[in-house]
Amino acid sequence: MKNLGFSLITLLVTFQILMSSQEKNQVKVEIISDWDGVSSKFFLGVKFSISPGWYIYWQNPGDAGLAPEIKLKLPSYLKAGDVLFPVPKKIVHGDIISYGYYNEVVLLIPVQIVSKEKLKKADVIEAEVNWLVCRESCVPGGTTLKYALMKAKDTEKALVKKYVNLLPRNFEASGLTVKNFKVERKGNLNLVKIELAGRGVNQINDFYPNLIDKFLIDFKSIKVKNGMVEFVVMPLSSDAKVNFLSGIIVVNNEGYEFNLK
Amino acid sequence: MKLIQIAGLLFIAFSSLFALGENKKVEVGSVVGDFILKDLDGKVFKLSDLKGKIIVLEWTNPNCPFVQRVYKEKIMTSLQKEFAQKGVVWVIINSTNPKHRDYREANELKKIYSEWGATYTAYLLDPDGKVGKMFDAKTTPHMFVIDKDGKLVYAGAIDDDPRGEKKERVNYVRNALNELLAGKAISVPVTKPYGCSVKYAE
Repeated sequence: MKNLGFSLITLLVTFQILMSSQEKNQVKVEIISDWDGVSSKFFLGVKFSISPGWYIYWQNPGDAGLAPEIKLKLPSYLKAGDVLFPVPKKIVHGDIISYGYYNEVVLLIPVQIVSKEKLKKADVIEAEVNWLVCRESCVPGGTTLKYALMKAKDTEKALVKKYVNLLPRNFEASGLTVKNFKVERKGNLNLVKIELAGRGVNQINDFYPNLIDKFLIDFKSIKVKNGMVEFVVMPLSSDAKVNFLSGIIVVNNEGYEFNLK
Repeated sequence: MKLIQIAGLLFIAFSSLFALGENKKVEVGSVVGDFILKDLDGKVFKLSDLKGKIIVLEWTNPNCPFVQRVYKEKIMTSLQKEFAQKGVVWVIINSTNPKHRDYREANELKKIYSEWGATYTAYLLDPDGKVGKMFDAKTTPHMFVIDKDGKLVYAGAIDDDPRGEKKERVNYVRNALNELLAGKAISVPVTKPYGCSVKYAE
């Protein structure tokens, strides 16, 4: 009986969210690819079409939210790499910082055909996709998609190409170099300082960090000035050390992959 | 002249104290400053009235799917019941601002949490978000544990399962409370909270 009560209340609350948004499906998902029918490497893409004003999250959602999750079931002759996320937008609600995508995004998965002998055209790829979409409120979503592997249409190829170009580029292409990197202790907190040099040093807009193992990042503390990127992290244990740092350096509104050991 | 100087110094001292009270955020390991909020019945709640007790603060918003899940799966309610029996004070705080569409009136909140089987000592409303910001509460749920000396000893997630898919979860709040009741040091005092953002006024 209590479970019924819970379900009714939850249903009512969810119904209110859906009705006030006047949109029943905030996210539509489909699989695309750029396979040309010949090559042994291609991209599989999960395309999220997101209702205006709503957003889904980057691999590091920030202070709140949840990254989308893609679980693939592939035929034995295909091997998939990690999901690649295009450069996100920084979403600021007061002191709460998130990273995500509005309107549309395609998450890309590099796929390799490891055995051409076993390849059968129109074999089915299955993807279980889960996401959290938010505007003022948040709604979780999920679906299982099936995709018959065939030579991709030109429109699919063009869309994959567009999002390949929106992936963070190699750091070297930014023209920047790391001049100095240090971590200063400030009471219970650590202050991370990355000094960058090179052309474009005055055009650095922001830094979107990946999560750091054993640390909490104070996202609102991230500051960029004169080639210096600074932010505060809190160690989750007394022996925690910042040994590895990664994320996206945004220069002139373009993202560059940043990895620092 | 001296009187003016003394008055000036006093003014500066008071201003500094006031500023500290406004801006100082509670950190794990430090003593929690007092706060006053009203509960769902409009009664005044003062943290310092609970001196000497172990207190759990749970930030909430019933429209948040993460909150709905931890109640539906009885993760939150089983903790509330278990530790109420052991004398722990459980305080739910809702910092949703009244202009947000997730805002619910007190009588509606009372009904929702009663249907969900919540056990709490107090359910407090923090519409201007002052107390939420004092604790740097970022998500719903976001959990805090205060020891008998008034010190914040845990801040973070309820467990290690943001997606709600693990068969075996580490419940950080249960572990912290058990360690506290056994007189041990808290082994995991800080974790990354997960959930929806707290709907503060912007």
